Amino acid sequence: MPGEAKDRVELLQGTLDLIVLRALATMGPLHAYGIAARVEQASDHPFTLNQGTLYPALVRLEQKGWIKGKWGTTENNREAKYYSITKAGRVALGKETERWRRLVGLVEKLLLRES
Amino acid sequence: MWRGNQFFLKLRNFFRRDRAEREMTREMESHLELIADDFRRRGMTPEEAQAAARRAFGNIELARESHREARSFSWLEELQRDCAYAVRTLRKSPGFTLAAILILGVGIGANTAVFSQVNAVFFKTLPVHHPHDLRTLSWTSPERAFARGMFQGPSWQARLAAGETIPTFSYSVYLRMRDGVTRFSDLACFASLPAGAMTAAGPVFIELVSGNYFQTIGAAALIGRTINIDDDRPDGPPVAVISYGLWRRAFASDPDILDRTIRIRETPFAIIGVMPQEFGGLNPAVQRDVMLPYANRRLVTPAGLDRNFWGGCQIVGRLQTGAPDEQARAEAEALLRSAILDDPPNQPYEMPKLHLADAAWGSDDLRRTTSSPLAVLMAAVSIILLITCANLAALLLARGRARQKEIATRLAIGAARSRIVRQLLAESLLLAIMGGFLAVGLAYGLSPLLTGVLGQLSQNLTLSGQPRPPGVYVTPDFRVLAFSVGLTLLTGLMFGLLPALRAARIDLLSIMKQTPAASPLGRFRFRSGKTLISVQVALSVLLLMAAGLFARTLVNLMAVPVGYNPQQLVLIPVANGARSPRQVIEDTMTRLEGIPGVISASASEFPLFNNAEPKRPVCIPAFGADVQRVDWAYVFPRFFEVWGVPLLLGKDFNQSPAAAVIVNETFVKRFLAGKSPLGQTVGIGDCTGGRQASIIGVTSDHVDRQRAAQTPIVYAPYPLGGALPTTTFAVRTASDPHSVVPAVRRLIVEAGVTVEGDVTIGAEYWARTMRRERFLTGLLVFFGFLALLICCLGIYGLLAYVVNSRTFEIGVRIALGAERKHVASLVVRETLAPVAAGIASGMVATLTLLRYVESILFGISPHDPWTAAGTAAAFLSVAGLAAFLPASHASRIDPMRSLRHE
Repeated sequence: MPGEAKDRVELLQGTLDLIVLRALATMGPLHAYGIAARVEQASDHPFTLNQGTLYPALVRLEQKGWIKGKWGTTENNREAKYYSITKAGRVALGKETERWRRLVGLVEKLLLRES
Repeated sequence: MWRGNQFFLKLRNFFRRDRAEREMTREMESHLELIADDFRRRGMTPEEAQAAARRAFGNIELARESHREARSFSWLEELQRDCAYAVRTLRKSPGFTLAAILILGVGIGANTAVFSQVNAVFFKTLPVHHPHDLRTLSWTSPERAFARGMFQGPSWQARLAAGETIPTFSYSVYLRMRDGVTRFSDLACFASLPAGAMTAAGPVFIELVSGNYFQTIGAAALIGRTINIDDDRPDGPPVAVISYGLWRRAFASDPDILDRTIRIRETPFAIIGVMPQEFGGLNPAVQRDVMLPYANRRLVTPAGLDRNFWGGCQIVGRLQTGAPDEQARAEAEALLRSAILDDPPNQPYEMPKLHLADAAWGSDDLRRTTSSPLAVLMAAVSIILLITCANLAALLLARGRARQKEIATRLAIGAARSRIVRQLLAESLLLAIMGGFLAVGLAYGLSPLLTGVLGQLSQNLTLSGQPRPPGVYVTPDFRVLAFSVGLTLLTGLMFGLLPALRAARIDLLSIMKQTPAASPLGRFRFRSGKTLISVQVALSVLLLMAAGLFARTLVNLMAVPVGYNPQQLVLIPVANGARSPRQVIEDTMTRLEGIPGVISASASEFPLFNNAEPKRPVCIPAFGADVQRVDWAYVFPRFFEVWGVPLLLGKDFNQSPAAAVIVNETFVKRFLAGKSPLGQTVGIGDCTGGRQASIIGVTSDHVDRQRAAQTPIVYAPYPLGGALPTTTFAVRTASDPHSVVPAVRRLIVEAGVTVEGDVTIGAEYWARTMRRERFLTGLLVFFGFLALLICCLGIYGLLAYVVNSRTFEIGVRIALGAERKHVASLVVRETLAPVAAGIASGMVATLTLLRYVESILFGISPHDPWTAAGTAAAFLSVAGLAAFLPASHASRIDPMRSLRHE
């Protein structure tokens, strides 16, 4: 499986939080599997979200009060923990998105100038 | 705010771990189900779907671990898990655990106990207000003729030669300084009376203090009040402040103590206050039971302290806030010198130089007398602790070996090496902490005894040779506690780190593959364990050799001829009242001789071995015109006969005191060398006429106390009319001196003389002068054997382990026809090399280190071959003994069983 490992995109520290918040903001409440599937689908890239990083991100976001977990049932009548974005989470998403855009813009600019 | 919130959420998750764990499991299981549902929808069987879901999820353990890490403090959880694991492991081998805790408890406890003494003597400041502003005054001068009446016995000479300053002044000089100083807010005077005064409550120790003493040092009473300036007037009432100890001891902690009195020498003193327990005065080296106003001094000292007597006052002052020491010193020095000029001596003298010393820790008597024995003790207990550490490290190494497979397995399933090290360290720290608890418990429980230890070391003897306990309050405080906590953790690291690192460094593959057949059959390798054995042996050799040398020093000291016969000798020190003493003393002597079992009785101003005999100026025409200062003792006839001091020449005094003196051998050697001593004259005072006495006899020398140099002594007949402050009766008995003591006591009471101190047996006094040596030697011997015992345990433990891990090999050897005797010697040989190496390096260390204590030794060199040989023999036999059990076990190994073992 070394090839797969090479293709994998390692997420930058902090970006996973942003992605999860974004997914919850657009899709409404999702369970962990749902989030993983959504990210995979939206990214257009054959990368699987490592559960070893997704779960700590969920714990972290919940402890920060940005998302909230609640047990519910799926359409197939399975129980699952649904996460939804909170008000504080929306505020944070706005800020984080802005910050991310600025960072990306800056990196772009630097890359262009150097080439 | 988020951060703080997050912290509490994490903490909550730590304490509600089970709930968080359940929640996580539930969530991840539902996650797996959801994936499996998807796979089933794509047409897999439920079993296939389950397996595929697991594959798709990835490493579930890893996810769980990172979940835990994110939700709580992982290090805290790990620490808790490590501790729980350590507790489980330790409980599995209760024997080892118990032994380790005991050894550690003794090791750390001994250190805590000795440190609490060091703390009490060196670190605790006086329990007074702003102790660092207090200064004690002292002086130095090469010519001290202005210091009137100062005893200049041999002990003073030695102390002055060692650069010590003189802490006493006369009361009149004190008054001059007190009234003149401006840099000090006040100066106070105090004087500890050397002998205990007899009261209904037994002998008590008196300190006279000036009226401003308590105010100056800033100490308040626990009950009642302290002495104030109004109490310290010549016509002031007899009042007393007593110590906490006396209040407890003599008055049973009576709450109405202020209504009671204490009778000292016929005067009832009204008790006005009780000092707190921690209060030990300015000189914690000596106990004080009763503090009296200085003006009351004539009521309690037979002669009273003369205003001009330079032994009358120790001075303590409180500096004005911000006053520099040097200014205060110069000012007080000028006052001191002008006081001397007002009343100059008629002999040459040199103006004294004044010194100030920080009195925050009290005057330094106790520190001076106890610092070297405490250093020896501290060294001894540190060595014990090091031995303990080496011992436990060796045992843990052996255990680590035995646990290799367990550790290898854990490493193989992915545990980090650092994790293993931490876990093993947790084990040793846990052991150390339990040992530490035991140690602190011991130290607190034994703290009443610890004060006694200090008394044994401080070498304060009363006139009758009773140990005079120091006024220090030795109770473990926060400093001692901090010391033991630090020591405990350090100990845990010391004995745990090496074994833990070793255990985690194992080579996985070779361990997992290892079968008994593949283990090396050659020499058993366990180098670090053997090194630790050597270290233990070396340290124990050091202790045991030191103990041996000290013990032989003690024996040598006891064998020194004392020059008199302390056996069957009873001594009764008394204080003379106002009545004509000579007649009373003569009558008492006659009546003492009438007691059945008494052969003869005599009396003298001081007991023979009292080195406080005052030096008096004499003129020896045969030697020169200069005045000599020699020890001078007033004695009654038959004094020498009763004490058993041989008269070498001439005769004893007869009943009528004539102008005659008897001198000792040293006097003759020093002043009359080559002349016939009998008939030579000795001028009393100076050579300008005055009283003359001729020498009628020469006695042999005697030993005052061990290691003291001989001094010239003049014995003179007890003066006819002059009332001397003290007298000591000496009684020679026919048999056991104890049998006459009750009769002697009765008779003394009937005769109406005041016993100062207590009736003493000569031999016991002599033994007590070596109390400190005896006590230290006893402790060292104890520690030496303790070290030997710990070593023995260590060797046994290591060998038992060696035999156990070589069962297979030994089985093979026996199966192949090796003799059992040979097998046993093989095992014994394993220990001989490290033990021998330990003995050799221990001896080298001893010889190097003992150079520093050579002055304590007497009549023996640190290179003494017999002590060395004895120590080596002791160790070899003990090592042999320790090896015997495992060796005999090895020789009895059944080859069939050992081969089937694996």
